[in-house]
Amino acid sequence: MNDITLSMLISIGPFVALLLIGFIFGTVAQRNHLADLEQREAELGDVMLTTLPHADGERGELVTGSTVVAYDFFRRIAVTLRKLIGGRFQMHENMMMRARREAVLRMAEDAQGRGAVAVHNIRLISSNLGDSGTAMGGCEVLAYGTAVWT
Amino acid sequence: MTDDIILTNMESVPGRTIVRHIGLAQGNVVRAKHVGRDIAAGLKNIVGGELRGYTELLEEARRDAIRRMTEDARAQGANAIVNIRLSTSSVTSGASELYAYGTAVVVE
Repeated sequence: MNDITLSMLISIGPFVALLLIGFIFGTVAQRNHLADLEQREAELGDVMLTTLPHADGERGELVTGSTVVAYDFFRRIAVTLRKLIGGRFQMHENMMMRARREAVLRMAEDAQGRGAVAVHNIRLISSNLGDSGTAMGGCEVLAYGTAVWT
Repeated sequence: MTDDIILTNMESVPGRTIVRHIGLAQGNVVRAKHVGRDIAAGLKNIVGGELRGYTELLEEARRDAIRRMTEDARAQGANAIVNIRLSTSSVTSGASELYAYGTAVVVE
């Protein structure tokens, strides 16, 4: 009886450990990232970001910003289970929105660093890397637009 | 990204007038993931967050795609590319195609 419990522990142990590690690190990373985004967005100041296709200015140039994000182990399993029920994937929504904010921020920081006053005609695209469905290889979000100088 | 050809994803070039439309300029790059980066990303897949190795890899590849598009435009005699679009697609598991296209034009 004891042997069975032990062998069960050994076979399940690593999985549970990964779940725990994933949950803890993932939660901390998520919280830190949100705080970092808030701070950088506040520091960004007055670069105007629009999706307007036309703009006046003296000079324009393409700017991009991108990031590849992935789930932690815990959330990947949670999402897999969630798929059985269906409905809103709030975890996924949150991750994608954080990735978009990061991509837009990188693009805007690039534009600001080069002295631009605005980025117009911003487009956002995302693509899944690697194994479809599991988001194992991560998901890429790209933001691009035209930085404008006046 | 390039010194002489103006790149924009708007329909016009700010501060310039388009005198002639030449046509489509395009460039693509297919990049596979890298074993070293895969291992690092595999570990990152446990704790989550940004896969920085992949971000850099895709950024390099995208820069190459844009450079090829720029060369294409230059070969056609353009000095600017307008209405640029960028897209990414996973060709097979583990490889991504970065594609950049736009309209080559001559501005004054």
